[in-house]
Amino acid sequence: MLDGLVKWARGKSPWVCHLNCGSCNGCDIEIVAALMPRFDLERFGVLLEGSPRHADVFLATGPVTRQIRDRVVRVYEQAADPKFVVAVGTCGVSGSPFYPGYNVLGGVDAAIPVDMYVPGCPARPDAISYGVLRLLATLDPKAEALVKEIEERYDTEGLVYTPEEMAQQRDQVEGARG
Amino acid sequence: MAKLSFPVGPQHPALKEPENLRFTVDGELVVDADIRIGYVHRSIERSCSERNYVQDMYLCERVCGICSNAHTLCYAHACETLADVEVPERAQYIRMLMHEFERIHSHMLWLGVAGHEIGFETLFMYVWRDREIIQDILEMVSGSRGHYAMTTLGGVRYDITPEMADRIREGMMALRQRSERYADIATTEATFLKRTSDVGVVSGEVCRNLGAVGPVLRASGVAWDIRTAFPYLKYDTVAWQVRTSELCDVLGRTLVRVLEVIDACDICLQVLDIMPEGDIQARFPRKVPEGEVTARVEAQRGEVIYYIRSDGSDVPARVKIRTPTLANLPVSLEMVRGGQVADIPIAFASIDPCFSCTDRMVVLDDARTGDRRQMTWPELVKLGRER
Amino acid sequence: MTASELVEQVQEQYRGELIAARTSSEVDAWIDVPPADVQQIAGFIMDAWPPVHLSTITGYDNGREIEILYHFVADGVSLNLRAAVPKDVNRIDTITPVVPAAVLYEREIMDLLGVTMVGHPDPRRLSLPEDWPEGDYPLRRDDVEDEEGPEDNG
Repeated sequence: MLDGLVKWARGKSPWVCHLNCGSCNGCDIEIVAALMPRFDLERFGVLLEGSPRHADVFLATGPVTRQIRDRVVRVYEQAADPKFVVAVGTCGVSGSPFYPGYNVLGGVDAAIPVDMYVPGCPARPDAISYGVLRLLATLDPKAEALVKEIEERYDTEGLVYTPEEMAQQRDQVEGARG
Repeated sequence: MAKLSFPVGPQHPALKEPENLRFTVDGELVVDADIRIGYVHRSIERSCSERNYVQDMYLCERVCGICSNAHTLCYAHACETLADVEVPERAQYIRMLMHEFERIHSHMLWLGVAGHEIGFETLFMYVWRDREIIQDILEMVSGSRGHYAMTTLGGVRYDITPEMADRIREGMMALRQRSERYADIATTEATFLKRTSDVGVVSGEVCRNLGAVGPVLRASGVAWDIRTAFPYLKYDTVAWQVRTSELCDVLGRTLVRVLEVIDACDICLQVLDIMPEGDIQARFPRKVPEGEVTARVEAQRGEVIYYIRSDGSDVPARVKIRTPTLANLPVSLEMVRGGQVADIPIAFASIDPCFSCTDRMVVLDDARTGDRRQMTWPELVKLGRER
Repeated sequence: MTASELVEQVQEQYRGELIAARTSSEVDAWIDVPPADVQQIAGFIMDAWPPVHLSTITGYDNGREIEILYHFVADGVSLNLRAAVPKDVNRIDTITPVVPAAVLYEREIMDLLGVTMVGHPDPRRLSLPEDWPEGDYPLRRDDVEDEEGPEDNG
């Protein structure tokens, strides 16, 4: 873990790997759009990399289907620590609206641990970028400064959720259901 | 500046697993092809029979993130026929705009991805930059870049203001101009021609026998389009034509799609001029009368068909959905058979498959040596580009 | 050709054998046939009005039977052919010899509804995972009792 932190501190570009767990592709397209010139995640030093073995951050979309669950777990296990998972899109966050369904297990966290939740149907490229940055901000002072700048200029409340914030949301929803 | 290396679709490790795309090869020649699907099976049809008609609109929209409006349109048509509800004229024209906007965004998405598959990264970047024009229009009109939620049972949810109409006109003119440039590239750019001409060839007869639909069918010379075969909305009030190509290859499919984008721009410009004032929504009953119906639309990838059975309640007894990619899967395997391994990515991509249905683990079985190679889709694409 | 004209021609060919035939519009025809005749009638349709397009095949559990609906497009008519398979029989001939395009749609019905398509060249699962329990068909409704048929919606 310490080696990982040292790497970040040296300004290494985080390598992002895209993982489709069963999505309709709406969010997958917005992830690609986030890397296109208009939203340009690349200028923050993010590089979209093909192989999961080199991944630092997984952008995972879609509800986890029975058929894909084991593969998702294996892909995740292939990557070296430190690694993070961003669940992108409402169905990545909770499986909704497909869950419950006979072939659907839930959101991304039905298969692997999630470090940041970016809801939306589809999630917007700006929200996805912000989610990735907030994650990196916990390890990289450059990203942290950027996040502060974004939060000063824009209203970012409710755009993304950390696991703790998501747990609070879930408690509220369960509480309301009674 | 770090180089952008791009996967198309999900990631998979090269582990021993049930393969999804399996090719039998003799050296570099593809002798046979097979595909396994089901990874995105989300129990939608059954869920539709457990939720009411309004909730099912939301669900059907999410069958596909790229064709979502086409699905809501087809679903709404089926329900409106069952309930004998007439959609107001203005709403029909707005639905036409959305239908063509979606065709534009999807075909441009495809063109960029096709460019990527053959290593034409600049094309990818330019097309996706231009695609933001239609994304902005979609967001202006509906509030969203995807899953626009414009269709409602009985009409549409939002109106087009005169200011929006002006912005749409500007966007259509710009897209039309850019698309003419892309048509030019597709027909004259040497590297593009080399990677698409005579690649993935299937005859019109094979297409028809295997049930192919959409631009795939039309690029093999068969002039079949639901907008004329089973007319819907107001396509008979605007000037347009069904686009075909006699080339029967990837190049033909490219041309049909680019021309359809140009046509879509022209259709939208005409619609803005002729659409009447009036209501945008008709009343729709909560309970739908008993009966059964089929509805078809020409989505960007081809025929979408819905069959709905109603038992007189507010929950459908059965919603059956067939997406165009499923209809084109048998013919897609024909496209790669007899071709080179290096051409698999672009040949397969030329049917414009729903991402999640396709890429995944690829297995190549060598019929001559008995060797087996396993690779991920991006590795296969890389192989294709290096040729 | 109109739906009525097409229905007339099918009725002429299969006088007395059809279970029901109706139209719901100028272009929508619905013909109910005995399951044993489905391959033959599909063959007749393919030969009578080429080129015929098969849009898809629907399976519907009405409680006592699984209705198999073949959705064709023949000479501009949306022709829906229905064969109701009693659940205790649960099998019907494949139409792939005369309609190659049926190959994936029949697999889907075998997978999700458990009706055997006798003679299908490739009866593998289509949508469900390989380790899905045998005998579990998510689109069956074995808890539903006899349902009335759909009324004419034309």
